[in-house]
Amino acid sequence: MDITAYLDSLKFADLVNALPGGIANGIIWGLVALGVYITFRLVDIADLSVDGTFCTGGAVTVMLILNGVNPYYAMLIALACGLIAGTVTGLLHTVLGIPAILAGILTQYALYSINLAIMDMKANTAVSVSKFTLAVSLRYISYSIEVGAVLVLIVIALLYAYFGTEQGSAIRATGCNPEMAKANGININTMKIIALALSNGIVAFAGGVMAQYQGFADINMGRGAIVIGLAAVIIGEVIGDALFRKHMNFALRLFFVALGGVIYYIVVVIVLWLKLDTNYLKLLTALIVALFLAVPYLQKKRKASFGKAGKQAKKFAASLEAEESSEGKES
Amino acid sequence: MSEKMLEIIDVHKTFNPGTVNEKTALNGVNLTINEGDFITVIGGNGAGKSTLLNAIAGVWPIDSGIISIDGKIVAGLPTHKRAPFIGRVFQDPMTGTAATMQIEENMALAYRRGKFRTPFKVGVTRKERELFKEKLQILDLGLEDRLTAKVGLLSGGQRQALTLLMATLQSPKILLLDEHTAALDPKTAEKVLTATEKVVSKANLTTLMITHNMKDAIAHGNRLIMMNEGKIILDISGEEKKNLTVKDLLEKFNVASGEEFASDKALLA
Repeated sequence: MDITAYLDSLKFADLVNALPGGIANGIIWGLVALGVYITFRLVDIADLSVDGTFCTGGAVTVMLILNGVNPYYAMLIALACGLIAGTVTGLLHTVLGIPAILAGILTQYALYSINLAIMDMKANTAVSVSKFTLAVSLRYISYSIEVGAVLVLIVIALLYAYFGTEQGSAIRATGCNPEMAKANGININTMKIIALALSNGIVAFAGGVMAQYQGFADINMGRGAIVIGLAAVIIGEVIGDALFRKHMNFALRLFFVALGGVIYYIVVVIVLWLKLDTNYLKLLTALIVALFLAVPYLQKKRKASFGKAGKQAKKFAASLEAEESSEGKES
Repeated sequence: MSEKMLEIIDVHKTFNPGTVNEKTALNGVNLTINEGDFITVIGGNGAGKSTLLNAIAGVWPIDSGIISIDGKIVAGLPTHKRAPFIGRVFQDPMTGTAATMQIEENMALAYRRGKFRTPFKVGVTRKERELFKEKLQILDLGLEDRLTAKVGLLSGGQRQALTLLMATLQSPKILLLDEHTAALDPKTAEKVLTATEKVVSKANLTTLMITHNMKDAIAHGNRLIMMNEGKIILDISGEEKKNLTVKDLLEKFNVASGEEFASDKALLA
């Protein structure tokens, strides 16, 4: 393809037009990121069940709305379903001793069947905004952004309040130092289950919002939710830490985690605008997540590595040799 | 006064049974501790000192025997359910506190030991903050002005002192100190020991303290026990304990264990 023809085909106006949609999408993924943050950062579990619960939330919400339920009630019921699914992962992990990552995969796998059953064994169920009242819809993007932003702020406020309570503190202690938590009378298994339930509840809620926004629930809508959620968490934290450094408090951190979702989706919009093949989007996301996850490790290694120690030792030996030979000359 | 606070009857524990790594760590331990006793525990490496404390704390279930605290059999309870009766300070300064949480948050976690933690009450109340400040002043480390500092920023000695305070915020029925000064430099270790003496005597806490330092074992507490091969081989208290010297101890060890101590280092290390 001719490069000038390609550049000519990129209209800045197209990008501007696509941005609001990207932001709306991003806000919903910001909700997912808040859920993922609870497990990934606070109790140190990469929970793969969210891939399933995101779809569960969407499926439950759509089916309920189709049956005449108020969309907000539908989303709250979706949240409850997410809580249950997260509890299952937690029980698999704590009571049955299955490694957390496998417990998540098992729940996610089982949810595929359950999600299909919820949608009457159809892989895709539509809910039209012209027939039903929906909380959000891509037909009304700016309104959807407003609703999404309010929902995000409510979730942030609730999470901030919760993790400041006795129980929230106990969950944080469990993630930080399980030995200390136990010695102080905290049942760490219960705390892990609560964290997993809460995380999946929020993700299912986000799934409910997404299904309304795009106008349908799809059996594959949750695929890769954990990766996008992680990407949002990491991007948000990096930006937040860079801007606020030590002044980053918990509320601000949650805000940036949610913002990470928006930034991730703006990047997606730009990638689409550049007419890059969207098939490579998942590859790109995986690369970004891998890169950002590796950064803290590599930084630590740079400070104290065998390579560095070896170089230093060689240099030192060379200087000793040089000293010896110069002393030899003098005498 | 001299009421039984902890009773251990014929407790056995074998790790990795039936494998090449089989190790009998506790081989029929009997011990009765009265309320207000401050007992120092000594013994060589692998004698079963830490295992005994872990058995009391419920880190894993014992194989047989009885452990009861203040008349209640606790052998069937996991760590977190025994925690209301037990205060613990560990050898590793990292173990006793949550590094990413604030000093006051750590203390609040300890203050709620044994209580149900609801999602409807704030983690640290204003009243508690005042109490924590007061308690931190006892340590004399300047921590009372740094309530919201992350514990990860503190030195090992500060963290041990804080853990000690946390372990005693809710007066425990028994305080377990597992070589809590071993990882510190001598000067800091001395400070933490002084703080320990202060805290223990102030609340008249029933205490079990493992130490590698025979002088410390003699200088502190009203009773001394020595362990060897998973058993208690010496139990000295009262006047006899007061007049004890390191030399006496070594001699007593040789008699009690029926073996010559190859090197004092094994006991002192």
